[in-house]
Amino acid sequence: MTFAEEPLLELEHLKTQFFTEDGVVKAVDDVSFKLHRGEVLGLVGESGCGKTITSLSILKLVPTPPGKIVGGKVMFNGEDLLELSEERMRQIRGNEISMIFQDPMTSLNPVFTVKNQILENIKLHQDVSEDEALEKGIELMQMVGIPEARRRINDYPHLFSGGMRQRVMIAMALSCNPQMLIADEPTTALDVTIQAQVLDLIKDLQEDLNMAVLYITHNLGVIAEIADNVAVMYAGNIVEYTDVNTIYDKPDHPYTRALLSSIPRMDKKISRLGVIRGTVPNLITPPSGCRFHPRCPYATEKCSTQVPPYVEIEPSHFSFCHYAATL
Amino acid sequence: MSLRNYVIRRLLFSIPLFLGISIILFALMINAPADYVDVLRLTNPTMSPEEAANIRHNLGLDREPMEQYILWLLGRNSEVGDWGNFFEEFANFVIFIPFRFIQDTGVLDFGVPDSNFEPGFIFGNMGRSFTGSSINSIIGALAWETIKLQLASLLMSLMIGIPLGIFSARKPYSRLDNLGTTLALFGVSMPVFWTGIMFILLFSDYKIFFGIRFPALGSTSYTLTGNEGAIELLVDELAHMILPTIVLGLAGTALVLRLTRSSMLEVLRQDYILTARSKGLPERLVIYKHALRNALLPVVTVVGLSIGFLLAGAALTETVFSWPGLGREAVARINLRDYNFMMGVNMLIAIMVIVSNLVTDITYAFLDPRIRY
Repeated sequence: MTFAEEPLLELEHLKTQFFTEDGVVKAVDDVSFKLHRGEVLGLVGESGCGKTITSLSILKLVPTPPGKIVGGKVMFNGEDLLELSEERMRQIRGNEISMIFQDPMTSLNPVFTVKNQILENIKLHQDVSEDEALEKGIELMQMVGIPEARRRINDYPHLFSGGMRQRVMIAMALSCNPQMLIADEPTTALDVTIQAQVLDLIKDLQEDLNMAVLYITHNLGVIAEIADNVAVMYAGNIVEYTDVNTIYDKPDHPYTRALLSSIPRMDKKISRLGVIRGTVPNLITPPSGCRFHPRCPYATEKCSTQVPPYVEIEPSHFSFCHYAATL
Repeated sequence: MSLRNYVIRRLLFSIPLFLGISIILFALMINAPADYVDVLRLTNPTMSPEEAANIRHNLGLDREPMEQYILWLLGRNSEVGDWGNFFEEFANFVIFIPFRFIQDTGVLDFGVPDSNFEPGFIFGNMGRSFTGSSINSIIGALAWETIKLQLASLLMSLMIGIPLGIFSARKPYSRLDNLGTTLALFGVSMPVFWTGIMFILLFSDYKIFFGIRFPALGSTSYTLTGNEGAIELLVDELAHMILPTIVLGLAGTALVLRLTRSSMLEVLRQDYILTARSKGLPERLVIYKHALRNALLPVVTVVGLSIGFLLAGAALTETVFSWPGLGREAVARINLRDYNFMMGVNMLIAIMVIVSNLVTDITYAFLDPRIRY
């Protein structure tokens, strides 16, 4: 899939750090990618690699202190979000860029009705009357597949199941027809059948509304299902960026390969699943050179001293490795 | 179960609870090592054993404990202070309660005969103190002074503690937070009799606050002539409240501040706060709508419980400031071993605690929709 027009969102050398007592955690280090209208970009990586902090940085919701965006640009519709005032930022949040979170059990406020929480968003960003907002809220709940929406909108979140709560979250996020949705592991806390339903829902809505979606997950199976392009993150860097087919057929970066060999596949017979030796590095004192080198089976002297370049192996296929396209 | 059924069930359960508390309290009083007459003999060493026995008999202290308890709880013949024709008089009293009540209002005269029966505690009569006066009227006269002081200090702790707690939680380890938490630590650790004396010294003796002498004795000026206008009286009353309210409120403020701060810190870490921010809500709404209502639940519990102990009075504060309240009176009565009075006060506190617990639980159901009874 190609997207000719200008990107909706473009991250340029984004750096977010946390200033803790133990030192500076370089959680997001020089991250760049583009996201076009109607595109679904999967951001994959293991826990603690900086996926969530990247998405919170886009909305400028990194907990401050201790976190701080120390460099880079977040270009959205030609504006650098990092330059915008907090007031302008609030008009963008929930209106032009919405976000849904990992755990639907805790991301809705338990003491307010669903109606209160959905309508709050609509009334904040749109000039509508109470009745219009209510109709819109009910419509949204029907759109995300909540039965008896007119009655259930008055319920409190604890009366909904996990999957239904995530649908409520999606309805809330989509209430102002955002141009972009950030989905931070929205199916991780759900059980498998519900996962599939929620995933289908997001995909359908994305196509209907022609939204851009930044889909964050550690689950490569989910990526295959939903994404157009994939960015693989490791220890605060994007190590590989390509389209969804290439990532499974011709992964380039050693980390991507290791990640893929560690999951079972239906199309290949594997006698033993691969493991990535070692542990995720401490981001206060990340490894020198390529951050993956202590765990990389192909690492050489050069890898531990020099930061690798972003190599464009093929058009729109980037690998962050000294030996890109040669291994 | 509906809230109504829950309340009815809780009220029914509180009846045995109430009886149990009264039995335990009564047993403690009766078995205490010295009684009222022993205290009298301390001040009057020439009192003969016969005289002492006589006083005990008149007060009914020589009866079996069980007998004393029932007479206290249900009532007695007021002429002989004894059983009299107990069952007949008791039944007569109970049956005619509504009629006598209507007759007393003067609307209708049923011709209900006067009764010699002096109702006991279950009819709301706490009986007579050992010094002879009606406990109901003593408490009635003193309760307002105590409640006034307690409510004022409670108000102070909420009005200062909650906003400061919220601020502390929003900017943890900032200068104001450090100041607040240090003061809070001071507030909870300093004994009230020490802060009380210091306040009297600083604000009343040394007049360090713009040379104003804050009144520090009693609840009104003893120099009042009775010719003052209503406004003058009110000003005098309020001026007397300032120091004791602050001293009493310090500990409460500290408690509320620390509770609000820790519970707010906890809530601000929750996912739904991030959700609220990601909607683009202004910080004001995130804090005061989404966070505060969740953060106040523990504060409600503590305030609810402290309302239960409101009547217990702050014996120390009242003593330091010579405040004519229930707490100071209770201490004096304990020294006298006036067990009848202590029974009255203690039972009143027990009832207040039972009721305020119930009210707290009901409030909870309104604040947190997840709670169902």
